[in-house]
Amino acid sequence: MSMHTASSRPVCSAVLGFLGVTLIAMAFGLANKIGVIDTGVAKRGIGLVIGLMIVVIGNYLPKLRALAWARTHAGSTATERMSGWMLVLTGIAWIALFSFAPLDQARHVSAMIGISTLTIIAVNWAWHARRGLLLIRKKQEGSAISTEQTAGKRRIVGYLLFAFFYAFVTACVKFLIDEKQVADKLTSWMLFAFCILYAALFAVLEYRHARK
Amino acid sequence: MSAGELADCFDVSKPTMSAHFAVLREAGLIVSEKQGKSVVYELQMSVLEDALLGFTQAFGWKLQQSKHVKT
Repeated sequence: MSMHTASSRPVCSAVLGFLGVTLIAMAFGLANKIGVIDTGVAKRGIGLVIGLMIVVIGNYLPKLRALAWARTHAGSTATERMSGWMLVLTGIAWIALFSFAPLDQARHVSAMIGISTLTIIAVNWAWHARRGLLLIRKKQEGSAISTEQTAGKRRIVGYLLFAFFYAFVTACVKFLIDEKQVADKLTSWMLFAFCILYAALFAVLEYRHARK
Repeated sequence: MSAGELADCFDVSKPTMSAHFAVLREAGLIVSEKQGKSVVYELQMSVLEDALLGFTQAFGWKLQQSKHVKT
């Protein structure tokens, strides 16, 4: 087994899983638009598929090593593992809610669970990232181990997690707000903001890659 | 397990062990983390693998201990 194959496999699986699940969610939306399935079934289907997406990304999160650059201090592995577990449990809760609960309840409860999970993970990661940055500034050992392979992998992981974050937050907002017009307006603004942030992320990652 | 504990299980020098660990870490099979003065190595598992391991351990299954190959 080559090193490249072993280290890239989780990233490939996560990317393929994310794309596959996104395509299924789009298929539900399209089927609803052309009238093959009614709106209730489509909403349930999309909720189930997004739950599956959360499980897939959560499952691979510890292997993606998104916090690898901050591994100069103890706890980053535990943070990634805890985030993965939280996402998997959230995804399972979404699947259960959209399978068995009344649709209105499922939408609201799943959105609240999703927002809580994302908030906890974001706070936890921000704290670790801050500590990692402080330690890197002090030039402690272990932070700058970055081969061409791991740098490329890290860029793909960055884009993947950003796309997942966008899909997850959009789903939470759509499910939480009942009024369709307000939800649509908000999500179009979110799309705009995410596009700008995505462009910034792309610029930073590509600039860092070019410098190396 | 810490680097010292792992090194005790094999009849190779510590620098050789260190090189092997570096390869395994680069391949994404293990993760290492500094805890105080020692470096701790763990298997890098997905959540599902972690859950399955916990599940099997709950029913009494244990990871097989490495045999000492030192003579």
